[in-house]
Amino acid sequence: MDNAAIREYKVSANELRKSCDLKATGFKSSADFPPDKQRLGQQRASDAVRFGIEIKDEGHNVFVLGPPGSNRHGLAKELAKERAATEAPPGDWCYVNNFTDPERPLNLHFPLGRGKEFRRDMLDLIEELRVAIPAAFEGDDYRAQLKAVEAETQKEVEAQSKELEEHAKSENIAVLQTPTGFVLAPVKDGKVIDDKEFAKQPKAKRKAVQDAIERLSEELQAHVEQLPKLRKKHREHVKALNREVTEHAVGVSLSDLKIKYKELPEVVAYLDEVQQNIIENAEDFQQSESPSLPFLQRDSSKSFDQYEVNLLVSNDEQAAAPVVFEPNPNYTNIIGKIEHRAEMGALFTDFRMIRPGALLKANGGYLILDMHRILSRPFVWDGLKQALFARQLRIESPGESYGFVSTATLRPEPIPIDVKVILIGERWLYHLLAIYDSEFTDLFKVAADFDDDLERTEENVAAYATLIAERIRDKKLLPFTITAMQKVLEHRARRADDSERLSMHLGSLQDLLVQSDYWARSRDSDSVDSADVTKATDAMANRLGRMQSKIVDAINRNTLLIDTTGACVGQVNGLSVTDLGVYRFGHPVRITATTRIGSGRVVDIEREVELGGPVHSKGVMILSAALSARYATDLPLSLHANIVFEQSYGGVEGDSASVAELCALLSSLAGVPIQQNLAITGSTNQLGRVQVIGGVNEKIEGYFDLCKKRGLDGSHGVIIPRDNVKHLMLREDIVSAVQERKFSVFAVQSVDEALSILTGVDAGSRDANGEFPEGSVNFLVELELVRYAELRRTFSEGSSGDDEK
Amino acid sequence: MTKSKRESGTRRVVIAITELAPVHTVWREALQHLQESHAELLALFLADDHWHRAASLPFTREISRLSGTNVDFTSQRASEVHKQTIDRAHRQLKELAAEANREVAFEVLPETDKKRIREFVAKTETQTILIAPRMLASRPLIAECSKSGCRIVLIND
Repeated sequence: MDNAAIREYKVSANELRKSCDLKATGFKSSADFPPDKQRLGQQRASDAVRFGIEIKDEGHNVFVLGPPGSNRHGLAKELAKERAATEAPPGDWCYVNNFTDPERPLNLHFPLGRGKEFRRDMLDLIEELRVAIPAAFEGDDYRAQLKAVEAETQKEVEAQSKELEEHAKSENIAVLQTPTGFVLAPVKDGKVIDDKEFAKQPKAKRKAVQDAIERLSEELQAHVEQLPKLRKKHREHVKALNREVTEHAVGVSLSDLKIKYKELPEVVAYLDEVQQNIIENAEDFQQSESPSLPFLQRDSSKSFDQYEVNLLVSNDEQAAAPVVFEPNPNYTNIIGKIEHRAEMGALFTDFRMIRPGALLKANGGYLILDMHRILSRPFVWDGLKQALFARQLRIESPGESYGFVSTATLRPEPIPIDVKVILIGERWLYHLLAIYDSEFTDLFKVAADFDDDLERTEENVAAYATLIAERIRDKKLLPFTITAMQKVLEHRARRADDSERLSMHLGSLQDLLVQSDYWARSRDSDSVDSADVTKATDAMANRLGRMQSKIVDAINRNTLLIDTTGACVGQVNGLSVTDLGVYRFGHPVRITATTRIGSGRVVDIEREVELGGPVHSKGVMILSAALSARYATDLPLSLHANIVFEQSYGGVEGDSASVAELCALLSSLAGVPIQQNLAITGSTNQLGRVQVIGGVNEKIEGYFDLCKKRGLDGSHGVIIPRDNVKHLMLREDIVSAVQERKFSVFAVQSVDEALSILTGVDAGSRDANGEFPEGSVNFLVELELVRYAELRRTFSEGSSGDDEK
Repeated sequence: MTKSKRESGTRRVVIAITELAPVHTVWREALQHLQESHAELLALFLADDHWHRAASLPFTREISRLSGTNVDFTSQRASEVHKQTIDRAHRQLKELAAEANREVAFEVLPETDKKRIREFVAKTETQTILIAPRMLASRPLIAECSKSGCRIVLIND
C-alpha cells in the first residue's frame, strides 16, 4: 500500500482533541458567570426521584442508582427538600408511662408542637405536685383530720382499754403497760403489792386475786387481738383521707390540663390515668425521713418521674416536612433504641429512655440512606424492610427483634410510620438486590438511574460552565480564567472518554477545581489559569503513576520486549489498559501468532492457562470464525494456530486486541511482516469489521510516551477503530506531535485496512471471480490455507486419518 | 411585774417527772420560767418500784401487745422495763432540750429511797422552782420540798 493510500486513514490533528471554546460567553473568568442554581443533566434521574417522592402509594420508595461522585446525594436531598417545602411538618410523637403495664409504654400523637407543650405542661404539673401534695399533707387541715382519725381510733382503743382497766380496778388489779405489752398486778392503796404483802393476805383473797388476774388476762388477750383490726381500720381511714387530700391537691391542675387538651381524647384518657395513679399512690408523695442506708432511700422524685413525657419527635421548629439523611445507618440510628442506666451493678430502664431513630425523625417526610452502608451494618436491612412493610415502627433491640434475648425489657407500643425512603447505591447493588431479594422490588418500586455523562452540546457546555463557576464560588476558590474553565471542561470530556460528552462525575470535578486552586495559590496567583489545571491533572497522574513508570521502565530496559522499529512476521504491538480504580493508563503489549498445518483449531494460550477472561476468549473465537469465513471456504480449515500475549503474567480481559491478534495470525500465514513502529487496538466481528473499544486515549498516550522516549521519527503511530475517533481527547503534546508529523493516528473500519497499514502491503479484495489480487496479503493467506488443506488431505490419504487428536 | 423580772432571782428549775406523768406539759411550763434566765435546769425522774413488786409475785405475766401471748414477768424483765422506761424519758427530754437549745441535767430519784430525797430537799432553797404534775402532789418529795421554802408549781395533767 502506498503512502498516499495510507494517508487516507490518518486522523487529522483537529480530530484528536475537541477543544472547548467559551469565548462566545463573553466572560473572562468564572467570577463573571451569573449565579445559577439550575440543575444540569440527570433529567431522567430527576424525573424518577420526583415521581417516587410525589407518588403516595405503599412501596413506591426510591432507589437512586449511579456511580459515586455523580451528585446522587445532592440531587436526592435537593428534590426531597423541594417537595418537603410544600408539605406541612408532621405532628409530635411522645411515649408515656403505661400505669397498668409499665413494660409496654404508650405512645401519644400530638398536632405540631403540642407534644412539646404537653411535656412542658406535665413537667410544670410535676413541679406543682412536688410542692402541693407534701404541702397538703403538712397542712393544718390534713393534720387536724389525721388527728381526728387517730383520735377516733385512739378513742376506740382507749374505750376498750378503759373498760378493761375499770374492770381490773374494781377487782384491785392494776393494768401496767410495758414497752411491749401489759402486766396485771394486784394493788393495795393504789400501789402494786409485792410477794411479801401478798403472802399476808388470807388464802381465799389470794385465790380470788389470782382468779381475777386469770380472767382479766383472758380479757386482755381478747383486747389485744382486737388491736390489729383497729389498726387496719385506722390505716384504711388514713388512706381514704390521703386520697381525699391528694385528689383535692391534683384535681384543679389536672382539670385545667384536661380542658386544654380536650380535643385529644387519648391525651385526656392518659390524664385520667395519671390522676387515678397519683390518688392511689398518695403516700408515695409525702415527705419521709431518709433511711440510714442510701440505696434504701425512697426517692420521691422517682414517683413523679413516671408522669414525665418522653418527647421523641417534634418538628415545631421546622416549616416543612422533615428530610433526614443518616450518615451512619446502624440499627439503633435507624430503628431507635432503649437505653439503660446502671444502678448498684444492675441495669434499669423505663419509658423515658426510649430514643428515636432516623425512621421516626423522618416520619411524615423523607429519609435518605446509603445502601452500601446499610448492608454493611447488621440487622439494619431487615429492620428497615420490616418497618416499611408493617408501616409501623417497633423500637426494640435487635436481640429482642430476633428473639435472642429473654430478659424482660420494654416493649413500647408501635408507632405508625409514613415515610418515603430514598436509598442511594451503585448500579450493581440495585441489580443484585432486584435479583436476590424478593422483597426489594416490592418496597423500592422507583429506580432513579443517574447518567454518567452529558451530551456536549453548546447549551450543555454553557450550562456546565455555569455549574463549574457555581462550584468555584461555593468552595470559595480563586476565580478561574476563561481558559482554565475551558481546560476543566475538556477534562470533563476526557473523563467521559468521549469528545462529544461531558462527565457528570462531580466528585472528580470538585477535586480538579480544588487542586487547581492549590497550584494557583502556591504561586501566589489571584486566579487559576489553564496551566494550573494542567498542573493539577499532571500532578494527579504523577502521584498515581508509579506502576505506569515501572512498566515503561521495564520496556525501555528490554525487560518487557516491545519493538518500535523494524518489521516482524506474526508479531504485532497491541495496546492494553490497566485500570487502578482511580487511575488508568495504557501501554503496549506484544502479541504473537504461530501457524502450522492442523485441524482448524486456533489456540488462545491465555485461555488455555486460564489467564484469559471470557470476553477475551470470545474475541479469539470470533477471529477464528472470521478466518474460516474469509478464506478458502470450499476447503476444510487445516490450520493449527497459537496466539499469545507475550510476557503477560496477569489476567487478560476484553476483546480490544482481537484485530491485533487476527493481524498477527494473518501475518504468520501470509509470511508478510508487520511494521513494529505501529500499534493497533480494536475488536473485530466475524465479517472483519473493526469495532469500537474502550480506553482509546490512554492506549494511544501509552504508546506515544514509549515512542517519544525512544525518539519519534515520524513512522510511529497507532491504528484505532474509526468509530473511536469521536472519543479522542488526547493530550496536547500528542496533538502537537501529529501536527508536526512526528506521530500518526490511523482510523480503520476493517481488518483489511488495518492489515494494509500494518504490513504496508495491500490486503486485497476478491475480484469478480472471487480471487484475491496476486501478492496481496489475503492472496498469500488463502494460498497458505489451501496448501495446508492439500497437505492435510495428503496426510489423511497416507495415514489412518487421526493426524491430530 | 414582767415575767423576766419575776424570775430574775431563780437559780434552778427542777421538773419532776414519773413514768405516768407526761413530760411535755412540765417541759413547756419550765421553758416559761427559764425564758431570758440563765438558771440551771434539772429533770428529776421519780422512780416507782412497782415493776419489781409486780415481778416478785409468782403468777404475774406479761401479755404481748402484738400477739396477745403471755410470758412470765420476771425480776430481770422488771429491771429491763424499769431501765427502758427511764431511758425513754431521758431521751424524750434530750430531744426537747435540743429543740429549745437548752442544757438539762437528768437525775433518777427512787421514791423508796428516803435518804436521797432528804439530801435532795436539803439542797433546795428559795431560788429553786419545782415544777411537777398535779398527780404527784401527795408524793413525799413534794411535801418535803414545800417545807424547805422552795417554790412549787403544780401542773394539771
